[in-house]
Amino acid sequence: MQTDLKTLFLKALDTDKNYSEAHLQLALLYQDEKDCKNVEKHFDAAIISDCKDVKIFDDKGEELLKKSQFQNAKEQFVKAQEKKNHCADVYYQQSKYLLNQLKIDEALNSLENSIKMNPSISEVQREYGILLSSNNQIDNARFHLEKSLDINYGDSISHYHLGMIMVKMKDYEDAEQHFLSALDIDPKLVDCFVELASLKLIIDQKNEAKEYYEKAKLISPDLKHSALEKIMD
Amino acid sequence: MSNAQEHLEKAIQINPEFADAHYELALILKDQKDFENSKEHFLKTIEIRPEFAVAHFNYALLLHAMKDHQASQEHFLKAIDLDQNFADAHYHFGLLLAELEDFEEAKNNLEKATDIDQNHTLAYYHLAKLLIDPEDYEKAKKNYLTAIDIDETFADAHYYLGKLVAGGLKNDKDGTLVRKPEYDDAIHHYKQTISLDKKYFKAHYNLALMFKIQKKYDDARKHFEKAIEIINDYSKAHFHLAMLLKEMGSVTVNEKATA
Repeated sequence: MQTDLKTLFLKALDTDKNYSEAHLQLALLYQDEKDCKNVEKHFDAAIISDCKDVKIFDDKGEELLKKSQFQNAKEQFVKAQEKKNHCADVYYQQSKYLLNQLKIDEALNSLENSIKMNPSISEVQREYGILLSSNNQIDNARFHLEKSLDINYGDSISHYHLGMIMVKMKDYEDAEQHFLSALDIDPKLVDCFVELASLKLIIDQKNEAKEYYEKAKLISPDLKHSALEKIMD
Repeated sequence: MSNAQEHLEKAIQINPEFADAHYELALILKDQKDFENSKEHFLKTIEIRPEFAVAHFNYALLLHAMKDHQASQEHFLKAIDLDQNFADAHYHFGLLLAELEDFEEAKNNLEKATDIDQNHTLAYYHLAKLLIDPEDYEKAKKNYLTAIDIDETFADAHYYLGKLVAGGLKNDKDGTLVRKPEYDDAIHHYKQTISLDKKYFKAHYNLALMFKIQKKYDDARKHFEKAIEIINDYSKAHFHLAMLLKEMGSVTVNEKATA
């Protein structure tokens, strides 16, 4: 099956070398095969093709706008946006690949580009926020995690990471709210119970800390957290 | 040189002011793609009989073929001016205007052609193709259907009507832009196209896309493969067939997981 798919995607590129959708699919297939050279080649080709198309559609739209052909101009701008959306997806997939390769700065760059192309993908805003947070760029991380929640308030992971940032910023009240929201959405989020327990420990509410840790252990009995284990005695 | 051509040239030798002979000779030379000589005889025809509408019309067609769009427009207009009910003049003038991207005037002329000749299949068809504004969705549909009604073997009209209804982009009654694809109608027209022309690869491709949306994967696969069989380097068909196989593969995996 894999070989068939690859042949078909390559065949699609035979006549249209700028077929960005085919480049993206090939990059993903080569990723499964751990063929890094081809993965990078096809991600780059997809991005170049998309950017080229965006420019063509935008220019055409501007030209039609000058001729007062509004409907036709709109059609071109819609096509340009569709290409931008695709390009945003390519950048996002590229960032995942780069993260796997532990190329953090490059992954950050890809996520930033993805957001430039299409700022309305919650997942991308979230991943960018998480990565910025692990890079200690807290304010920027918070901004993007909040953006992620603006787009999709039901994203438990964004709530969880925003909670973590609030802990770092010592805003324990907000942190608790985000952890609780995350648990409302996903009641089996063990890490969230652990973070809530730790938070309660920080603010010296040992009993509540104990309760949250017990709940975490109910879901994951093998869980061992050195600081929290101590309060269980 | 054909017999007719010889006789016409002789007739002109005898009577250089014989307009009909110049006209007929111009037509023959035009068919032979001897544009420069054809032009000369058209000019002579018009000089002798300036009110000869059909001569202006054919001269306009020649000028269009010679890419002299400005002069072509002038002679189409002259033909229409001389004969207000000249459907073909409006039709070809409409096509020229569309080529020159003057879409509003092109539509007006094509519409005029259909008003004059209510069986002008091509005028309905080309008018429908120009009606791309969502506001004109129903009008475009009506024009394609009229073209098909007059000539039910009109494969292109079926195909483009299929594309129109598959997109379904139109303005609602209150003017809101909505997308209401009519997949079953689109499938019907793509199938009609294929029944009229089995090698219509774009119809196979678009039909496959419809089947894919309806999750009729085997049918979709069959038509993608057919499109590729007709045109081996059909990029989009290769791509979408691959995506379909990928989707079919994941369906199988899911089914196994559920089982």
